[in-house]
Amino acid sequence: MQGLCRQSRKAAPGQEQLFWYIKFVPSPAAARPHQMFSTSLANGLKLLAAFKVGEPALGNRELAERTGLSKASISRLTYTLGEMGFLKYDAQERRYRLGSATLAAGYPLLGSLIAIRQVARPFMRVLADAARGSVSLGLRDRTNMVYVETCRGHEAIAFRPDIGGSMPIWATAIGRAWLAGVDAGEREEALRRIRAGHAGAWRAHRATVLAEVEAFGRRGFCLGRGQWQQDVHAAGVPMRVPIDGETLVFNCGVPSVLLGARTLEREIGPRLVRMVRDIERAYLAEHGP
Amino acid sequence: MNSKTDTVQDRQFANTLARGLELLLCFTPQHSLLGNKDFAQRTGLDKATVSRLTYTLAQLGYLRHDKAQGKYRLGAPVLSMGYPLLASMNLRQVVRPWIQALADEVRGMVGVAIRDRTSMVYLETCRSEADSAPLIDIGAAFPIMASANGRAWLARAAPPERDKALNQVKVLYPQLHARHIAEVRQAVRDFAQRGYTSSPGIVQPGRLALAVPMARPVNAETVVFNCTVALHGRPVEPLRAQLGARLITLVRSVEVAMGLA
Repeated sequence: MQGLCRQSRKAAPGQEQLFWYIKFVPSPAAARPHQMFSTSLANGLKLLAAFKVGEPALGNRELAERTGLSKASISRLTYTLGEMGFLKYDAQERRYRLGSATLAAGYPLLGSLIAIRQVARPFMRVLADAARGSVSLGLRDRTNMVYVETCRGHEAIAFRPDIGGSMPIWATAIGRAWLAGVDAGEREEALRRIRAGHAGAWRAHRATVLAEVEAFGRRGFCLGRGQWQQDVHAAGVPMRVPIDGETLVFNCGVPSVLLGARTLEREIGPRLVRMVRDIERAYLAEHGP
Repeated sequence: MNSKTDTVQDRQFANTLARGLELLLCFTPQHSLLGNKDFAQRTGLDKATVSRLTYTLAQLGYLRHDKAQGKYRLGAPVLSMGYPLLASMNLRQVVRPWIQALADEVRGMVGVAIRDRTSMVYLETCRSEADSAPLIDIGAAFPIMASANGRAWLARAAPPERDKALNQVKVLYPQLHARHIAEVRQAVRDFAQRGYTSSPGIVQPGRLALAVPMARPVNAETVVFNCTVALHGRPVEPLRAQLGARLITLVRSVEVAMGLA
């Protein structure tokens, strides 16, 4: 929508009308959301999202490259984010780092899921140790899954997912299991977003994703075989009990070197299914539906 | 604690962005479902502004609309937002087993925190199963002047930096400042003598909290370790000295392990 807006502003007078006609008249509903959308807020959040794991500090030039925003906008946004504690200027390095308000902002979400996280934790620990991998619980974010809890087994050294870590739905067992666990309407909505925003990735993974969703009906779990992190294979199982109206999903990821040919399908997957059912029972017993 | 952005008037300030972030900060673990009216009440913004902001935040996934209730919950991107910061603190991975061991040993809670303006925010926490206090989670924030953590941060900071932080509290929360300033001054003196700070527990009465800052910054942040235990009728003094010594040893070991010593 921002793109359209910029395009029509730059166009010649006659063309501008045409753009407006083509883009907005056929779907009058779209005009209203467009006015409702606050670009400055979106840009500020985009700036925060430019920080990636392994690059804790970014300078003005890198921020401009990653967000496509002008230098003037960036300095206004970084100033505001700094005042709010979401960014921190490192005067020595002359770069920005994420500020601790970014952690504080996520705290109420973790807190609102505390009941399920506390119930699940001991079960997750047992499976993580037994499978020599990591077991996590994830929540969907548009075309991604985001971890809200994670337990590492003793030997999963290199593979270190953590709370807040995010990964694409299509490439992962946890994402595929989410697709398999939600109703058709929600699934379609997510697939539409994936097709629109990640066309190339969708073409590459489409067949596998659909096969995994289909296989879920037979075996009760979905698999990912290193399509996200090459050396990690995983199984995913959605919860049947909704939490705050959402379908949460558990996964168990194991370094592929530790896996026999069919360990994932024969052992890890079924164990994960049993773990999720146990967690659901314990959760319902303690907190009710 | 929300910052009071309406006091900031300069032109460099992007008001819409600040207000949108303020909406995100309205949530608490107890109030995880908020409607436009709640936001308007909490921020003092008018309804039209609020609905424009919630619309945008929902489009971007930062808010999830609960259709049944007609209200919003926080969306998963608020967690992804701080993830690179959490991940950059590989300190957390190093210290986790150690702080768990200490928590078990003292039958209490051990945490690691950094400063966020007028608060201290937890990066990692571990609790002994024998401790019945509520679990304090990653991202939880406590007032800098009232907590042992915050006092340790203030005590470690160079005087100009300390005064700047105290002044921020004074401007935003004058009462809090007046109530705790004498204790903070005392904590700074105590720290110089003993190497740790202490305060009564904030979450529950009958608890004792101690904190020790790391000697050098990690990723430009002063990291503070703390330990909180229930007194169970024990006299404060010998316990404080004993825990203080344990916590100092832990922090010095972490510094060695991180190559900071």
